[in-house]
Amino acid sequence: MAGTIAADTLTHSSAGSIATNFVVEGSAKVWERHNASHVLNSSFNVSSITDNGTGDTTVTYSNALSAATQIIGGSAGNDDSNECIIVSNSRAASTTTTHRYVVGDTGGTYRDRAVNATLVHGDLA
Amino acid sequence: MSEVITDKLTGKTAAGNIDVTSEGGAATMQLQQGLAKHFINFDASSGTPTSQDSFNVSSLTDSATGKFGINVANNYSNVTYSLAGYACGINTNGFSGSQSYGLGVNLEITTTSGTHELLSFAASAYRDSKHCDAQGFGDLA
Repeated sequence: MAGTIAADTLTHSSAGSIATNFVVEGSAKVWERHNASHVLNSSFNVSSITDNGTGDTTVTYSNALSAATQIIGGSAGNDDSNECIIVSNSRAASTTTTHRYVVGDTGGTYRDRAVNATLVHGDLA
Repeated sequence: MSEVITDKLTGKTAAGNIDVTSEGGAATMQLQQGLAKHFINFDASSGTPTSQDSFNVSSLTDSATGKFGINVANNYSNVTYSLAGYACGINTNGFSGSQSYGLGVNLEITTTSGTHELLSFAASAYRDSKHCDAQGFGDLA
């Protein structure tokens, strides 16, 4: 049987203390990276991604969040291309199990990039 | 209030796997997977990027205007880790047009230990931004 520790605080001998709610609440609940073909390269708590069109992706979570007010960060880029990128998560409203985002260049054209990555912070259900 | 005083947490069944219970109590998730494996906040507005705060970053290099290399101290186990970041303007709080900044990956990541190059940009021109943040998530070696 695996061991279990129930504690409110973790204290390191030299690095200080941290309340365990910071560990739980401060950990990313979802992260993913996919390529230009919308194939997942690596992920955590992601059940699938959906290709909605060029540069347009929906990420679906394995374990749901408690509210659809998650914080989403991301970046995208290409293989040494001079075309720049913009990441937006405003294409569609997030839900407790999904977020949707688009990647585009500075001219406003959606792009499928070699590297597309997002991460999510918030509370799990 | 309970408190654990320790320098190291190690999984019992598997050393690299410690589960934590979710905020709502409905799920358990792996602690290690949710932790940022590196992050950095740097200021490049002087033309030379200067780290303000970082974790698991050994050095920061100036590749060119608006292009920065971040060297990770402890290697990832693969080259498919996830990066996120943002950059904002030089002494401005602008939101659109020429004052709109972003931070993207400029090079496809091909190494678990070396530089992954980020870029900040505005209006299709690379810029040395005032405030640049980047974080990485994935598996460490």
